[in-house]
Amino acid sequence: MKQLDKILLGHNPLFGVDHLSQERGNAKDQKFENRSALAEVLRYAHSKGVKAMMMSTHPRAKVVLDIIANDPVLKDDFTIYPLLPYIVKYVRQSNEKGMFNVLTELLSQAGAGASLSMLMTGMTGLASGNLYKMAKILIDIEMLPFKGHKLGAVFMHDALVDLALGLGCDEGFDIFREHIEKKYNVPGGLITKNVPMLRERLDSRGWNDYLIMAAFNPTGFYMNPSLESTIKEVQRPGMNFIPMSVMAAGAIRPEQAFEFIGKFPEIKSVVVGMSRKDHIDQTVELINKYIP
Amino acid sequence: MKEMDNNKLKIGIIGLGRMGLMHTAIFNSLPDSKVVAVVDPAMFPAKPLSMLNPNIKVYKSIEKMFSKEEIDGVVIASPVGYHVENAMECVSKNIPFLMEKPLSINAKQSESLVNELEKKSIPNMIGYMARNIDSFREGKKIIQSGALGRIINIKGTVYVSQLFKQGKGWRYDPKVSGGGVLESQASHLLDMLHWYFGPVKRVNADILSVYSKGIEDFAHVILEFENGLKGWIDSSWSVRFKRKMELRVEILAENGVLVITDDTLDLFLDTAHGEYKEGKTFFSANDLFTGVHIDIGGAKFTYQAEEFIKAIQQKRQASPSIKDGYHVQKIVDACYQSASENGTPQDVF
Repeated sequence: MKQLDKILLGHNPLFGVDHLSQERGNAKDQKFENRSALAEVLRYAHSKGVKAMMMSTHPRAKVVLDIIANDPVLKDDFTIYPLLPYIVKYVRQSNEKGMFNVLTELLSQAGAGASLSMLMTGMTGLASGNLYKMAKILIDIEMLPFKGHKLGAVFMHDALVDLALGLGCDEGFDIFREHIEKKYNVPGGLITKNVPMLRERLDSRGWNDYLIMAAFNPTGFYMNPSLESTIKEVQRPGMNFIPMSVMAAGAIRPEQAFEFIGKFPEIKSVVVGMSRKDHIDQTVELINKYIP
Repeated sequence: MKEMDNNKLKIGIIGLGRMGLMHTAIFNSLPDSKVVAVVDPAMFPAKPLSMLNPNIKVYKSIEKMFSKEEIDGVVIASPVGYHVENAMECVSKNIPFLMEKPLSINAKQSESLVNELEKKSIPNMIGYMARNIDSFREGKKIIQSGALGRIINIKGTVYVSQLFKQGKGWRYDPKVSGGGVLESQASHLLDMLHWYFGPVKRVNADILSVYSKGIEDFAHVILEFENGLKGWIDSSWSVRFKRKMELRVEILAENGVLVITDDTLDLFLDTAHGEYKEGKTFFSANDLFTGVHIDIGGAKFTYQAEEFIKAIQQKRQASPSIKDGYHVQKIVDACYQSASENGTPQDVF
């Protein structure tokens, strides 16, 4: 697998998500409604060597992508790692009008960027129950905002990965990976809250290398079924593991978090949310200290 | 492997909406259960699911499923209006069931079901999953320990940014959903308070519809419990900046204060009590987290499924039971009655 960026900027603080406290998330959300505040954080992070970012198709992603595309430095030197789909949007919409209507509307409102053939294929897929075609078309629709941007890898959201894992719809993982790697020419990765179970399932489908992103921290926060079993997976041959929630949503000091990750030489990249200059300085320094 | 699989409880899922899909995924993955059938008259997403996982059969009716499959437990995740009808089919076959909340569109609709369950001992459960959130579980332990001393009053809130225009679909049709935010989300809070403090005796309620027609988007309720305790709850699905449903319970007591949210638990005590120290004690989501066999949409749903499985295996009542759900339904009914009479107090008989 090609070398991925060492530091991936997490989008959560910029999009107002905080796993330890919704209240704190809301405060950050309000701060970054301001476009210049967002631009400043991105430029500062870049100047410190953070040249990549995870991003879902959150409404604010458009603003971030626009900032990158119009910045003389960022436009050629900033890599996006899309995260599909933006699950909150679909949950909210399916609460409002049901899952079927969400999909049909999505396919019919794909917008100016979607071609007629994309639309037709998607509608046919939905009507005939041909999920493979439909899945590919939905991926392509979600990928539209990232057109023209430098891509590092594309990840499937844990809400979808874990649902497919539980439902036993394993073939979805093959389809996603193949489509991403073939059409977008970057690795297709999976985000999960259940690393050991997912890896076993992928093995049973004949996978022998994996790009997996999941929570990884010394307290075992968001790690199922346990810290110990997840550590074994990280150390497994063929595993390209990217830790997230490294500070256990703020419960662990940064030094402790990265020292822990430093104990696993298999780990080459890390996702971390940073929204203040002093935080960027400290985090980048620690990552460079513990991850060579 | 095959033999182990045969020992698993065979679960059937009624209704393959968002909740039904999630229950399917969880029960299909736990070590003691697997999903063998789903019942949904709609083609989507049942048909694609069975294409991707041929071990799960699709049926158009519960009757058909029961006639073709050996089922050990059923999850009812159909629209609320069909809950009782679906449950009665399980009861007639003596099959344990876990029903999504709320119980029914009103208490009267579920009376016959509750009566039947009094006569037969069939494990049954209602899906008020908030009881399984780590912080609220810990809260129950603290309340039961008596550390707070005499409780003076309680406040509860539940908010989510869900609806800012007229909603489409069954959730917003009172004939099928039974009501608005009070029935749909505040009922979680009512179940929690019932679990914490016992049955509610009387309510006054005020409701407001802004975006919806015929159902409420805001509800405020004053509660009086049978033990004399008083409190209030406030709820809305039309507030800003709450991307997920947020529950909060604040308990003011003679020996201190306990504030519980989905993510945190904040305890203050004047004097130490048992394992709880004097002064402030704070638990974050991180402190309270323990890994689960599989997490799909939160550990609370896994705990809920595990409780249902244990209840089937041990042939016992699950927590919360349909009877608990019936009490919540009666509180909700009394609230609507009170609101329709300008907030006049109503007894929860």
